[in-house]
Amino acid sequence: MKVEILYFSQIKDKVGKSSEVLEFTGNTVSDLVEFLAQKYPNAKDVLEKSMFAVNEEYVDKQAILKEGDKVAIIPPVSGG
Amino acid sequence: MIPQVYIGENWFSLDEVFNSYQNPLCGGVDIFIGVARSAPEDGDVQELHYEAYVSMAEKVIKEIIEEAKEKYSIHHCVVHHRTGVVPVGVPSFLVVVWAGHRQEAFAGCRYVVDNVKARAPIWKKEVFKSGQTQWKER
Repeated sequence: MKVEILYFSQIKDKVGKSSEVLEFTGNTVSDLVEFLAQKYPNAKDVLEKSMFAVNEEYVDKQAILKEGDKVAIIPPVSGG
Repeated sequence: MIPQVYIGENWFSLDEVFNSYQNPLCGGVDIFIGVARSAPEDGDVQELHYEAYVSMAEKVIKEIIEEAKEKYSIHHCVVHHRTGVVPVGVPSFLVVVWAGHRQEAFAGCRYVVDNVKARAPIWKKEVFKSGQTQWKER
């Protein structure tokens, strides 16, 4: 399925872009993370400590994705 | 017009923020200001670069304000967070809480500050005098 992925902070630096539309095989956030870790091996460490949001809501890695979802990779936050 | 929740490059005057809400039932207003800090444990920090997932951060902050209203019976809360370059010593984060009494104002303000820091998708990068940079985690 095709989803839009948003990258911020550390992971944006590692993948060198702030967003992209990607086609991957799988159903869950976990499947997508595995796909991204293979595509961007240098970002694997950040993916491991990140949270994930689908359409602006935090989700756990078991969450089921659907076509067109906007998935944000949220590295450890540090506002304030 | 002062926005209740704002994430961006502007910074509003404290007087205007204070005057943006009036309620005769409020006897306590607590103001927290987070200031860009040079963390000596990290090195010689010159400025901080803030980045946010603005639309989601605004949504998360609005949820946190509603939680604080329920838990601490506060009447109103304003949250502003700067993005972009913030030099050391300059404010980056503002939380103002209006409540009936000081206890609710203190507790509600602390709840909002702690939860925005832990949950809002906002990041800061330390920029050192040497020109090196480092994304801060927490």
